[in-house]
Amino acid sequence: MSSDFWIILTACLVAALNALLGSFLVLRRMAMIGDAISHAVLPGIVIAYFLSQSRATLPMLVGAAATGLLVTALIEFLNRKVKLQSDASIGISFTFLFAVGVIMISYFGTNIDLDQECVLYGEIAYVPMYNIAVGGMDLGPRQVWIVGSVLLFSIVSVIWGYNRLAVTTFDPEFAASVGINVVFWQFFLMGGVSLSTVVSFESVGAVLVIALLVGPAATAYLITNRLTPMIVMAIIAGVMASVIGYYLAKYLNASIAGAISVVIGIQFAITIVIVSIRRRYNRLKYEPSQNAPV
Amino acid sequence: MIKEIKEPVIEVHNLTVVYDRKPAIWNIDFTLPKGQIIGVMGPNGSGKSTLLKAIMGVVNANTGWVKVAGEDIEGVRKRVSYVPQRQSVDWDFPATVWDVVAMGRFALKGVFKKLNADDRSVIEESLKKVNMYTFANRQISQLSGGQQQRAFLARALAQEADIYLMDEPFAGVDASTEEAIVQLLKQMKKEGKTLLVVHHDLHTAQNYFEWLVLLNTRLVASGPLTEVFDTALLEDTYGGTLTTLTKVAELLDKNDMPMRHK
Amino acid sequence: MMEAFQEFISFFRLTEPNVRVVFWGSLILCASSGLVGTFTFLRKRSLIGDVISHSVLPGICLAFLIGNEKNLIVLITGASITGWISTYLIDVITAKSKIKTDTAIALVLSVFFGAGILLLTKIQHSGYGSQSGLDSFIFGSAAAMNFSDVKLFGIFGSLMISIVLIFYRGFLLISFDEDYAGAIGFPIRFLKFLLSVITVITVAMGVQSVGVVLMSALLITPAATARFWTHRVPLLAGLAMVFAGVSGILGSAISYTKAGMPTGPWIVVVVSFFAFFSVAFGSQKGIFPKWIRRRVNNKRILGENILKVFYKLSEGTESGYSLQELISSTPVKEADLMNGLRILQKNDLIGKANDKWFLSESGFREAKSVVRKHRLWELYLSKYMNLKADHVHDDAEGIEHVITAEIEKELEKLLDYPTVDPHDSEIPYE
Repeated sequence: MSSDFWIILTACLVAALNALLGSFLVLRRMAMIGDAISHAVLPGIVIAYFLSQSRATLPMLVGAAATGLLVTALIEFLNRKVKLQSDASIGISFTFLFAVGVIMISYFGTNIDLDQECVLYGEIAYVPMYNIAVGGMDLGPRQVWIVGSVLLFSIVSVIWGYNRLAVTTFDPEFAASVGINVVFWQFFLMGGVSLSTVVSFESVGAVLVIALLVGPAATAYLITNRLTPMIVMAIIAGVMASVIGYYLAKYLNASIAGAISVVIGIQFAITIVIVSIRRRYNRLKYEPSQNAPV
Repeated sequence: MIKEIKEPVIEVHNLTVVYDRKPAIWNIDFTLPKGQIIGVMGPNGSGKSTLLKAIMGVVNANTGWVKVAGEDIEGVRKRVSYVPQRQSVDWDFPATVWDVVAMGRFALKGVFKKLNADDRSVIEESLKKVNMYTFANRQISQLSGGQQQRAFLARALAQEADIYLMDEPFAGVDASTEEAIVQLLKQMKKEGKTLLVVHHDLHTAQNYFEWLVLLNTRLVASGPLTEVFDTALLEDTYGGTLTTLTKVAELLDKNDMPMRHK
Repeated sequence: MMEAFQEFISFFRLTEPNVRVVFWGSLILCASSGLVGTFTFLRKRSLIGDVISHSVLPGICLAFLIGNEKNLIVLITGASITGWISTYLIDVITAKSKIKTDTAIALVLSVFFGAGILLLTKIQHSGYGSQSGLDSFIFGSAAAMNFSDVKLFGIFGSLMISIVLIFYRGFLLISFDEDYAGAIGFPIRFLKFLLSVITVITVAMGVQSVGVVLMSALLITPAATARFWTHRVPLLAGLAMVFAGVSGILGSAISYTKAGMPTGPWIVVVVSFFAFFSVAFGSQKGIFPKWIRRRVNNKRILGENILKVFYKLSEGTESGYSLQELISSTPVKEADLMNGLRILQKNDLIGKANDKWFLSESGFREAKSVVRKHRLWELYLSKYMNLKADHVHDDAEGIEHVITAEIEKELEKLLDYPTVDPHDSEIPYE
């Protein structure tokens, strides 16, 4: 297989994973919590890399995802217990953890093959350099296996908890009134987002993953009327952006993750313009009937 | 005027709920009769919504307890349906009317079961009862306020409960929806359901309710409409807050004092 | 380690011209973002600062590509333009579609940053290499400043401060109540525009020492930290400037000890340290002061409860009681009781003779007062809150400790100087 194929495949898997979970974040108005998580997992990732020497293994990454839950707990604590306004609670918490992560990299980054560039936009171009081989057989890049297995696990989990996730997202008070544990499902989702930002880290870095979480979901949200189609469409949009982004980056000789984010932005811009024009057109069409005598 | 009931369907005992260190309801104590349409009235911020949420256990009580049909709410959840305020949710959510009503069925299901044919016919029935069947596939953001409210009521009907707690079902709905909801409530009462309805319009209250709970952080009255719908009691309810009570509440907050000492 | 510490100390001697540049540069940049951040904090738009700081990156890169050199004024202009466009886009997206603010923020932030990364990597791959020095804008590099930069920052910084001072009242009003500000004829559109312009320029400058990724911390954290010490806005702004300025200098000094260490993360860690310290010990909402307050309250409540026990045992007579008698007539635990008795004795509210405890004169007065407040409150509850006599006691057990002399007078008057409570017990007056 060519390295182009593996890079595109990895990008698509990462995009699909983040679009799946990001759809719920967008609907829950928790996009910025997602942003906070994606920044805050950095120290966890550095420790995971450190402990497993160079490339982190999946169990290590699962551990790193705990930092994501830690930051949600910290935000909640500042907001609820200390009564600090929510935007400031988010801002303080994630910038602190992210800064700690960058400092850790500066001090022992060279030992663990992590640098500041990777934090910013990942190393998806290097994905084909780290392959897994079992009994002499090349099974492809380990990143594909890691992201792929987390994606599979996430899809199964979301299908398993679909109704509860939907109801706690739409109407948490009603959900609580029928005895659903709203807090559990909140943490269920946050745990998923933490894990997905951690495993996406090597590919797209800690900062650009938020484009993949929020962008395709926002685009899908503009065009669909039901939850399942929205999620499917978000995944399709994410995959599309990955493929186009890859070739854009190749053409410009620039960062792949950066290019994917830009394509996601263009996708959204085109969608919002079309949706607005269509809405205006529809309004014009119906205007006369509204003014007509009843 | 607080009338006590033997074998009440809902019993609230010394209930206090503090929100953000401010008492939303303070030491409330009443009993409600079965099978009636009961109105909960009071000015804005008087704790009406909090009362419903506390009965459902959605918010925690700081003191006191609630019993529904003689039991703790956890034991009877499936028999109680709660209709939150329409404005409490984001109607841009990507769902159809059918999806929303189906949520009422999932409430009764074991954790992750799918809907079966029975469930689907209940959903259909519920939609028909509120005249929303033709809108089943309509995206919820395209509904009018009245239609949104009907969708919420259909979801409650789909739960097939015995006791219904409704938060401001008449708020911001058109006249025809209001009339339709009233007819629905009367029909439900005939079927033996108990309905606890938060309401804010004094003019219509007399026509809608048989029993009235008047609330203004404290309980002012609870009893049959004819005895409670009384100028003095209504003035007491709507005639401003108790200044002393407010001052004490502020002191509790300012000095970090506990409401109750163990 | 020792060496690093000596480096750190030597920074503050400010002997090297380089160090002086870093010192003053960081101070000016960070203090002005502390000031401007106060208003974004008060307007609850802290995360907008996050968007601006990420969105200046493409502007910096474009300005570099156009100007073909690292001219600070050109870079700041480019940065300000894309920074400002990003906030404008958020307003447009939320106004024209059903997309909510948080999603709009996250989307614009990441897409602009992605565009910046795309341009940055493009620049790096096209021969400018790392000589472009644009890397230093990502995590900040105070060391990359030179003397003329600092002069420029000084001019801009004083300009920002002057604008805030001149339009202080307007900014305050749009932060507090925009509608009201409009209603009394303040030009809110202009004020909001002006505030967003100075926020954008402050961020565009600040990225030099903190970097685009963490710049938002310097807008958010100092103001939020100051909030734990004061609720008055002038003081809030002043404290925010101090916290930010000190963090700027300390962060730069720490990163100075290691070659290649970016300044931004250390500045943020220092300012976060101030924040967490304030969360714990701040006089306004700090956890520790609150805990102390609760402890003091609990002691007082315990004391008052014990005095009440004495009063109830005697209802007037002044004989003494043994510890055993006291224990058997109160739910208070023995250890707490002993503790409470000791404190009361120290305050001369009770005395001890022949192994019997008794109320002193002042103790008797205290006890009477607590019982009076208890019974007045019970009466108030039953009269005004329609509670039955057997439902009022628990509430009064808590509230009797809260009632002040002023409220007591109010209750007496309201209840028309009653003589008995709902249980027909006498209400004791002086």
